Amino acid sequence: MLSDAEDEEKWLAEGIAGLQHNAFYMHRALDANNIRDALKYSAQMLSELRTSKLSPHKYYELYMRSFDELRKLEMFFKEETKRGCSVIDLYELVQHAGNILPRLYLLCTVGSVYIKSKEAPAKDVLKDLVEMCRGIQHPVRGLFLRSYLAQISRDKLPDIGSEYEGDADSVVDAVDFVLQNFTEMNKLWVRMQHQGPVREKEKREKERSELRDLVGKNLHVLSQIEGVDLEMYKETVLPRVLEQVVNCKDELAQYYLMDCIIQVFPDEYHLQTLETLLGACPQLQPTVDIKTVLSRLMERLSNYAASSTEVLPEFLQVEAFAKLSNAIGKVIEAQVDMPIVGAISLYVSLLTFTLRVHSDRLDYVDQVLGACVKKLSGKAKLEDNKATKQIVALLSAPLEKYNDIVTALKLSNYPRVMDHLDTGTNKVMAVVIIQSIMKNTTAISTSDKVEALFELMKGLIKDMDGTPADELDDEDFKEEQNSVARLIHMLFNEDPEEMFKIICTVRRHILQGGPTRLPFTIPPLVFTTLKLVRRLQGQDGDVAGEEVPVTPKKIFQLLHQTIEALSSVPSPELALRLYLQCAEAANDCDLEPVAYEFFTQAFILYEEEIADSKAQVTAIHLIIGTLQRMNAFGVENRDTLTHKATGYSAKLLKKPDQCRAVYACSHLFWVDDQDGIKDGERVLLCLKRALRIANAAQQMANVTRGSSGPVTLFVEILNKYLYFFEKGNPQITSKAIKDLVELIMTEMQSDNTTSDPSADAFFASTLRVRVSLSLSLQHKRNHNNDNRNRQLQPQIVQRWNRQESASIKHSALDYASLIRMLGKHGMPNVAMQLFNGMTSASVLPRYATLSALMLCYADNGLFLDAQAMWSEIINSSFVPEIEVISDLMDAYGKMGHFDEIRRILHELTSRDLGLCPEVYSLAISCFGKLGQLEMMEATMKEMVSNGFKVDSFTGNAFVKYYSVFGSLTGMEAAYGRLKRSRILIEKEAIRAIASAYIRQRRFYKLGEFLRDVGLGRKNTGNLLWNLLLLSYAANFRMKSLQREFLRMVDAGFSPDLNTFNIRALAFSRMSMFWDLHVSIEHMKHENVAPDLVTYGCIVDAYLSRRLGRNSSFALKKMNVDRHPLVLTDPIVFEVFGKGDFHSSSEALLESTRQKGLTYSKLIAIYLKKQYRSNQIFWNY
Amino acid sequence: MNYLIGAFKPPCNISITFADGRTRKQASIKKENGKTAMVPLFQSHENIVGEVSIEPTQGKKVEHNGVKIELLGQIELYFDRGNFYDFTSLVRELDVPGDIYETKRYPFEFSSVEMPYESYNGVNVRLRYILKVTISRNYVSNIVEYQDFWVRNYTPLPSINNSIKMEVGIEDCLHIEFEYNKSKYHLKDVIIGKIYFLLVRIKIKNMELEIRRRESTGSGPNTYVETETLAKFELMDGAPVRGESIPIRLFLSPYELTPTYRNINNKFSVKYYLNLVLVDEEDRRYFKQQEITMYRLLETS
Repeated sequence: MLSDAEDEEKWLAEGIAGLQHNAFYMHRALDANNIRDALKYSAQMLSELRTSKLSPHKYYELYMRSFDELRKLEMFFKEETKRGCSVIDLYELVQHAGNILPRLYLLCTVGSVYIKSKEAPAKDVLKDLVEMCRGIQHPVRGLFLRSYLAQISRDKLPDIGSEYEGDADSVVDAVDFVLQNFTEMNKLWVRMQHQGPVREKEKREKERSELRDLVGKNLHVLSQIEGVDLEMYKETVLPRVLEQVVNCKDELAQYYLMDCIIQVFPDEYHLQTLETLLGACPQLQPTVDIKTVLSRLMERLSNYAASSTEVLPEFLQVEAFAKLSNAIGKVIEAQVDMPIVGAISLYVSLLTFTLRVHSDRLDYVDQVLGACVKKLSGKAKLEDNKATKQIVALLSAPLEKYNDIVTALKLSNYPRVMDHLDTGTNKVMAVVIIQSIMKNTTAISTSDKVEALFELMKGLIKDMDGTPADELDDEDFKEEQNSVARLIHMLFNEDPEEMFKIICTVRRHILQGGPTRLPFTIPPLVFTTLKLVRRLQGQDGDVAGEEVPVTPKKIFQLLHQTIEALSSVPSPELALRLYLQCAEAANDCDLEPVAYEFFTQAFILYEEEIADSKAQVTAIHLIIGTLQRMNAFGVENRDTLTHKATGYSAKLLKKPDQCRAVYACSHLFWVDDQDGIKDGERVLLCLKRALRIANAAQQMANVTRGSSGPVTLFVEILNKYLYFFEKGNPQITSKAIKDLVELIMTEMQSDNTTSDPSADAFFASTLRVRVSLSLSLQHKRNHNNDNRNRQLQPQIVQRWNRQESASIKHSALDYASLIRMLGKHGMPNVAMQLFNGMTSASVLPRYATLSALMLCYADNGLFLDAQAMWSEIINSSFVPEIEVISDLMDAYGKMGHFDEIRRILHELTSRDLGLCPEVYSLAISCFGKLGQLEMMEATMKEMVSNGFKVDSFTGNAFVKYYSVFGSLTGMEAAYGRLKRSRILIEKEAIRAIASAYIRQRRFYKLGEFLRDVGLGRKNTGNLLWNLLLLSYAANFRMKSLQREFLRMVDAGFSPDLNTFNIRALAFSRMSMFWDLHVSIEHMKHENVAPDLVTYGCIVDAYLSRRLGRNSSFALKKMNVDRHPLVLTDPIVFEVFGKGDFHSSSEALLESTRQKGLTYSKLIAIYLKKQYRSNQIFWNY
Repeated sequence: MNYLIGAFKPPCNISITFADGRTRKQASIKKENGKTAMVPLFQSHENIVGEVSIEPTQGKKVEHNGVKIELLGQIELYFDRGNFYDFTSLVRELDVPGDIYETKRYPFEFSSVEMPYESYNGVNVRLRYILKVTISRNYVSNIVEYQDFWVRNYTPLPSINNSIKMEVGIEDCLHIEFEYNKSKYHLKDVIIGKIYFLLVRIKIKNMELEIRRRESTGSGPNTYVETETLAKFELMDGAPVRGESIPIRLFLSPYELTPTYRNINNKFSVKYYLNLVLVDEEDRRYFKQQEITMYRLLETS
């Protein structure tokens, strides 16, 4: 991809350069008034636009530059005509250009001048131009050309009021012209997707959408033509544009163009042609995103409607709603594959439109919802996430519009749409509804509406079937129920009677909620009801004596039942609280029996349901608190209740709780009101009892644990004492208080109370310190970790160290391998640090480590360091290993430091004689590998002069490198030397020499050489013979080839694949079909499987004689169902090259990695390719 | 070398002028050396009137056995170079044998000369008209002077001029229908037409219209055919789809065309063809060749 982009840049640059070059000459010709040259160079300049190599984006750049130049040319033409040159001649002259693209650009340019000259009617010129432009069928070039045409003709259309307006109906011509250009451009644009390989489809689609504005511009031009009035738009423009849109059957185009139409033409036109426009929608491709198109249309129309109220009657007149609704229905019907989300979003748009245009027509809204229900019917719940989102939008729209749920509640289809939501979304929707109510503080004031509302929210209010309750997120659930609770608070009606009805309705609904919901929903209901009660209470005076249908008593009855439901849930604590609330309310209403009843219920609950000791404590405190404030009770009732409360207090489980409850009870006897009871004695009694309990608690604690905190209890009791003392309870004396204080003091000082608060505090602070300490420690450790990550080196070393701590004695050795590894990864500095660390840790570096480090340096080009290491090694007692030397030499060699190699060689040879032959041999092959023949030669001489014998390996390497890098004479001399030193030449060297001969095409010499080596040699396999055959085959000395082949067989060699292929190739090239056949038979006989080369010989031979259909004669002798392979020695290809079939098949094998390719398939493909290249044109 | 040239100089200068040389139209002719020259232009049945003036070189007299002027129409074939075949030959005697001492003028007139063939410079053949003045002399070679002139014959508008319309193609691959508005075109004509694509299954790269000239000379086994492409005119760029129709408008004036010559004196023919070529993306060329007749329309205005 990258190279593609780079190439493109290059091509663009070339194009621009060519363009500028010719533009320069064009300008010169223009200055010289040389019209022929001007035309010539402008045509050449425009030829740059003929390129196919640029993407539309880059092509545009080139086009824009040409455009600028053409403007200048146009100016010139204009002046030329003023000077008397006939524009008609000019119009002909430009058409002499041989290439069509420059010709048409020039034609358009002159055409523009032609129209301006008014020598011919504009319509005729335009018609001619738009027709001639058909010659460009290449999509990109055509689009740009036609866009040029559109550009230059824009101000020259024979529009109404334009200076080019001709005789009657000339605006029709203008429209026709633009429409035709548009049609052609659209065709080209659509066609663009089919150009080029399939795999680039995506890229092409992207390019296409870049070009869409070129097409769309035509529509824009159309919309700007003055003469296009509504009538014409309706009769001509729209039908023709739509026809094109529908017929092009292309997703991208249809979508874009529909959108264009909608955006470009005025709203009132759309309104008047709604039917036509909408009629096209169902005919579009099923994949087109019609919903967006229609949504945009509706959005525009609704904006139009919003722009002024005067236009609204138009909407009614054209029955916009009915048409839109109808169209949407049809689209949904037509596009079977449209996902449900699409359909719904269409309805959303329609609804939005309706709400904005016909906000008064609630029936329309309902109709939309009804249609949606119809679409959804038959499907169960919606699974699609997006669809549900759309439905939520659908349902929210009326809420937002009317700001009033009341209106929405009138929509009969509203709940039915909601039914299709899955439970979760249903809830979300319900929450939305509630929020809308909250936001607008809408008062839902009749029970009917409440009924409807709760019907909508049933998802929140009760369990829907099929949703397991435990699936719900606890938090969400609470949130939902809280909103329901808030909603209940919003219900209000002035009229108590209606309010009561509302309450009843709500109650009926929420009672279905089940145990999880009731705790949330009942309290608000209860409180709302209590509010009603208080209101009634306020009015009490006014309505007294009248027939009041709703009495507090009745309400309390209802409350009673409601709360009962809660207690059965069971949520006894909440029920208890509510009972107490009600009791208090009843108390305020002076309904003693009712209050008493509520209290009784509360106590029953306490007794029967509240089992948890903590809950009991809370409950009892509540009871006590409420009871304390009751003033409606008579003495008897009150006594009963207080008695019970005190009794329960004393029965609490834990002593401290008992104690606290009991001293709380003391308040029951002391109401700080004017007429409240003030029974000091019983207060004291309570307090004393509390003290007793506290004492007992302390003793119990002493027994069990030896310590406890009842001192606090004492302190609390002391507080109570002080309170009542302050309030002036005569029974509470200062003495009693003093005693109590003393008691506390002694308790605190006694040694068996260890639970000193200061000790507690101390303990807590220690704890805190500890926590902070541990925290800081942890922080430090983390910090360390960061550091380690940041620096690779210590990490590696540390890890290494850790691993090595167990076996410390091997560490030096293992460091060596680590260093080597670091060197390979290009991290010599890390290696050096490691080494330094090692020496500083006083681990003696061993030879292995040193050499590893040295190689590490050398590999990474740090030759100075490597040299230092080397001298350290060489000057120490270590004996360098031969592998290390080899690696080192290679490293130097790669960088071209040959002197270094020599130096090493000298150092070694002058020191250690034991290694010398190997070192010399190494140096020789090292030089050889790098093509330094002279150095190799010198080293060889030195070696010999130092009295070392040249071994076979060195000798062969010597010859080999000569043949690879040297001249033929050098090679022959080397071979001669080798022979004189009585070293047998080996396979490698033979091959190298043979390939050198072949490169120089000295086949005869090759034969000589092979004979010299000795064809009888068995240890080289068939190599010598094959090479010999090759030397004959290369010259097409067929007789010798046959003769030597027979001799080879006689000598006891069995021919292999290479032998056969050499022969087959020669036969194939010489079209010796008979011998080819025989050779294949022979192969079969010898059980040598043919390879791609063999098949290629046959195919190529037959095809070169145009006998392709006969190739099966030979091929049927072979197995064509095998997987193609190339097994032939590459040296053969050096002589013959690769055959046509071979190379084309090889490309195929490489490119398509398909497994199933066989010879027969390859042959079929190849034959087809060959056949197609010979096709000709027949007339019939 | 000037003196040498002087030695072989002919003893006199002969010049041939036409009576209406100043007003007569001239044709610009491309010579063999590539240069263009202006030559007087005639047409058949015109009177060829003029004057020959013989001007002896300073101080010399010209002895002669008579002076004549010939009007020759010749055809020269490439494979028979230097050998002119005269199809028209007219002679006028200008002077009886005698001596010429000073400049002498001879008017001449060939009236209403029939020159059925047009002058033509082809690849393998040349048709030319010349005036040849010969001063015959005894013992020494005759003095000869030539004057070329050019002949063009005009044809009226043909009464029948059908359009060329044809459907061609390769089965299941490419079907096209093409139409050229006429079958006979004058030299400054415009070829109008269209190509209609009935079926396109190959990827076409472009389409062009070629004007080819086929000049055949000789006869029987010695026929030489030379085909030249005079014009390549791109008609279409890119691959069309089915149902596309591509307009043709080719102005003939920029090209150096001649009328169609059929079997001129049994020596040669020149024919013109329109060759419609479609090139596909693999550069294979599909073509269809159609003969058109060219004629020279008398330019009235």
